[in-house]
Amino acid sequence: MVCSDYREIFSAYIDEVLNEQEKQELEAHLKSCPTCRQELAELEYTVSLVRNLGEVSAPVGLVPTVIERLERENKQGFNWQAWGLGKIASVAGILLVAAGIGFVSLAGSGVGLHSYAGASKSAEMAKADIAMDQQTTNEELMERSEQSFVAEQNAMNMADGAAPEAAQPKAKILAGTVAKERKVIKRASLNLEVPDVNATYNKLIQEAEKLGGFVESSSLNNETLPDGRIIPSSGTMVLRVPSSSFAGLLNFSEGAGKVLFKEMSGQDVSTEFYDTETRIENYKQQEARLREILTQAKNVDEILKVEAQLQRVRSEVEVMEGRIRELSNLTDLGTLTVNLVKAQAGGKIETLAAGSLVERTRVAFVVSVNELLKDLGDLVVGTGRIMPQLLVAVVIAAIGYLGYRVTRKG
Amino acid sequence: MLIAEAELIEKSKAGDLQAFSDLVSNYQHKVYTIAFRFMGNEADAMDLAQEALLKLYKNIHKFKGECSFTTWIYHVTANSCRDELRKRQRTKVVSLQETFEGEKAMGKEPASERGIPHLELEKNEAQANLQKLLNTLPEEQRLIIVLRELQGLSYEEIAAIMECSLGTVKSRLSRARHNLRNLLLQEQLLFSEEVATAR
Repeated sequence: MVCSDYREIFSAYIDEVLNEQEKQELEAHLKSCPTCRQELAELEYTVSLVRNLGEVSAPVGLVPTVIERLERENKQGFNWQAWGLGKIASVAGILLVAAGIGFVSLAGSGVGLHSYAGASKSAEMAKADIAMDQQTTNEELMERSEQSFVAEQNAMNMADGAAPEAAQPKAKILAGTVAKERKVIKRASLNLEVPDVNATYNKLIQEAEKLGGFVESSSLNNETLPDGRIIPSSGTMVLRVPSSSFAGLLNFSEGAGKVLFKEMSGQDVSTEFYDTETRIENYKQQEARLREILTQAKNVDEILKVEAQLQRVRSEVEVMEGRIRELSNLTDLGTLTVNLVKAQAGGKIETLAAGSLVERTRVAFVVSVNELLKDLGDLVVGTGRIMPQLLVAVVIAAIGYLGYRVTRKG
Repeated sequence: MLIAEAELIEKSKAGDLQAFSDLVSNYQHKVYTIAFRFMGNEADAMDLAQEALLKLYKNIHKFKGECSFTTWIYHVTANSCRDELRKRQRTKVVSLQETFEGEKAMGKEPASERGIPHLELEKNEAQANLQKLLNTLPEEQRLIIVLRELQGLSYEEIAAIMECSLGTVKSRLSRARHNLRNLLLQEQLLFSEEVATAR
């Protein structure tokens, strides 16, 4: 090997990836070749220089900028890639199966479905919910819309010349500062099938109270079991919890039983709320001005006129403050209505159609016999009914016959 | 892979942006270092790093755990580097002079204004000079230098990331190092005396 050959393996030698034989050959050559020694040294030094460059710290805004871009892209359209076509296909598949099951169960069972009216639809919804990330869905729906609201506020405020607030996804900024809190009336309704109505009832109340809420109203229907016990078979409860915990309570409740029906709504009353606040402010200013005018009133006539105005303004304010209180109550606390129904034994929906052939035959026979007896009974009754008329007819016939006999004899 | 990281990955696959943010925060310096040493200046590095992270998110569903997550991140970043350079070569030729001026204008203030000690200033200048030399290397060589010297990856890992054979890695790395050495000699940044005493 000549020097140029050895130079080619310097790099590998530095990284210690040469095999034992190559390594020994090289070291032997180096002992006798100062040029190669020099060049190897320079190469080693080059490597150390580059290695000392070290890591470069990423600018602080790098990750947030990326996340911001992704959020914007998410808002513009459904993010297929994040979902993955495989997942979408499986969700669609589950929905189809659920729809199929729903149709079959509707066709198969007879009467008694009226209380499970939304069965197939809710089965779809329940299955779709299981397929998706439940927590993310409920909260994301509310948070994403909150985000855009804050962004809107910022845009509006920037036009007003106020300082823009950095749009934090979970920020709730108090009214009175630059961006305002969104006022949403959150409502939801759940129909749950549960094995033990009483237990679930208590569980939900406990959770609501734990989250800082309360039970606005509730009712339970009881039934008597064959062994004489009286237990709740169905019930309704209206729970109020702080808006921020609403999604949490909803998720908890959904997990407490089999969801037969679910409905959610968020009514945005921000405009009305803040408008009303502003109008109250205006009216209060009017009131102050009127009171000033009152102090300068010269005669009773003027005083009465001003008082009339004051009265009008005050009653307007009262009405509006009442509305604000009402809206605050509705928006500060979300409303969750839960209908509980006891699962039938075996968890299946019972139908009036009896199962086995023998049973059905027996039932049919009994029904038939009953009908026969009823007919016979009707006959007896009918006979009894025409008895008087029959009697009269017999009497008339007898008289006629006797008359005839008399006529013939004479 | 840590259990916590595995969870973050799963959540990111499901579209949880907060989880993704937490996940990549641990790797952002590595990504940025590669981007910076490869592109040679801050602005381009920021662009490239962002592209790399976006690509990471969009392709995360493809990560099945067959290799380590770190390797996978390097893979995506290296691809982004190559893509970026190919894009630029198509649009215009980047003048090396521009790169030098750009770097001088950006963040390298004179010592008198920042009050940094003499040695620190020298170090920064030396680093800037070295970066300039790196910028003159062909892209594949530059990339391999960054992955080997700065990220400390093994030959096998580099082969996986750059999708080439081990032999290619060896020869490319050797050529890259020799090139740098020659450049340093030319710029007289490599003094024989220094080297002799350092040994």
